[in-house]
Amino acid sequence: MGILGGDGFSLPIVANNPIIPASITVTDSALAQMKKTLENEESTHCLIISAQSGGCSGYVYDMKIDENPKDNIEFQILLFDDIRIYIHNSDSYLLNGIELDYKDSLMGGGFNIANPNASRECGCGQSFG
Amino acid sequence: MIVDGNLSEINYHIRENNFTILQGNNPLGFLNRIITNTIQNNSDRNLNLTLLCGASGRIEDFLEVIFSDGKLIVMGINTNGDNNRQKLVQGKNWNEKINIMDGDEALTFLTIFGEEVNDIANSFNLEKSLDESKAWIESESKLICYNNTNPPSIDLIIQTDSLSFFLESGIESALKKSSINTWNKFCIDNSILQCDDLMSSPLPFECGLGHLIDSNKGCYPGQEIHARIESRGKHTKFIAKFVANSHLHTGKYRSEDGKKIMITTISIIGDKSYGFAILPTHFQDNNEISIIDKKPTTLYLESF
Repeated sequence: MGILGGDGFSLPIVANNPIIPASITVTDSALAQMKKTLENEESTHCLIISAQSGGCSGYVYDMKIDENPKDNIEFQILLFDDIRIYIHNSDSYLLNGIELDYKDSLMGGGFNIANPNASRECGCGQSFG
Repeated sequence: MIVDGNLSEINYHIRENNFTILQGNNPLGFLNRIITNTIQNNSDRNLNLTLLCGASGRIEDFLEVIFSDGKLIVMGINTNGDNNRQKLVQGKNWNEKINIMDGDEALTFLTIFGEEVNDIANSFNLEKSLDESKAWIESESKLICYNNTNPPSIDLIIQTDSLSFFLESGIESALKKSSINTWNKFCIDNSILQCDDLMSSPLPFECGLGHLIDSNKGCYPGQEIHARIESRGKHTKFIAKFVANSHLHTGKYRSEDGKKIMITTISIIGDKSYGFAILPTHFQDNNEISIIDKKPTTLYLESF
């Protein structure tokens, strides 16, 4: 029996992040780019935006296009025209208030996230804290 | 060298470390995202040490990662582990199946030290492997590690519920609770940092922990600052042991030329003070420093 075993030995699990209704802004250029990327797949696919630990400032954004999650009870689904953006409840606290933008530029182009709640952001734009 | 008579006895000290337990799918990969180096499952304890820093690069906790039955025990020297756990919880991706558990109440870390410590180990039936002096050994719900300190010591992590039983049986074997003064002397002699040494939120280079930064790792909180300091060689402070021929206390002092000196740990033995001090690099080549106290006092420095 190891130190973390034995009858009656249990440890309290730390509570997850608070869940809040997430509200995000999507610029016209970002919405246009998402429509282009998801063309003809709007009903089956979505954009999932999430955050996780890492990066220089503490957290990094993650964005991916995926099939609509089958088990979506823990996601908040935000509709922009016919495009669905999914934000998991556990990320709502960190991502509430973000603005999703798209810059059509060869250098530094692509999707960008501005987070008004971040106290600091990394120069690369992917990390915030 | 230890000259205190108390250290000829066998002492124990209950340490105020925090414990966070990570369980699930790849908890080490999860932890490695936010620490200053990359931990692998290594039997040598020294290779499982790491730092948790803020975005400013300053140390938030000095961690040891212990592997037990597929779980990670993350032990920090900060007396408040809630900050670590909050960071871990907030940094969990939505699809990561990891439980973060609070072990502060359930686990206790104590150190037994003294010249005859091996004798007491026998009476406690603490298992010892011949060649694993730097490794934790898991035995009967205890984690045990023998240390080549001066004097020798045994680190123990036990379930808190069994602490009083363990100590009662130890008292019969002449095990005594260490005074803070004696414990601090042991830590000073063996370069063991405690929570108070990190109270001023030093940078890793300032308290002898620069070796726990892996400059090839890539991004982690504080990495930008560490890289900049390292590349520009702008270390401004360093930690040293000292001895002084008067009684000093922890806190701020000034050198004769007005530089700030922070004493973080102190042990008074006879007329002397032993301690750790964080000093400006201005003094890096000095063997002694005169400081302003009630009367002129000299700190005789030793490397950390």
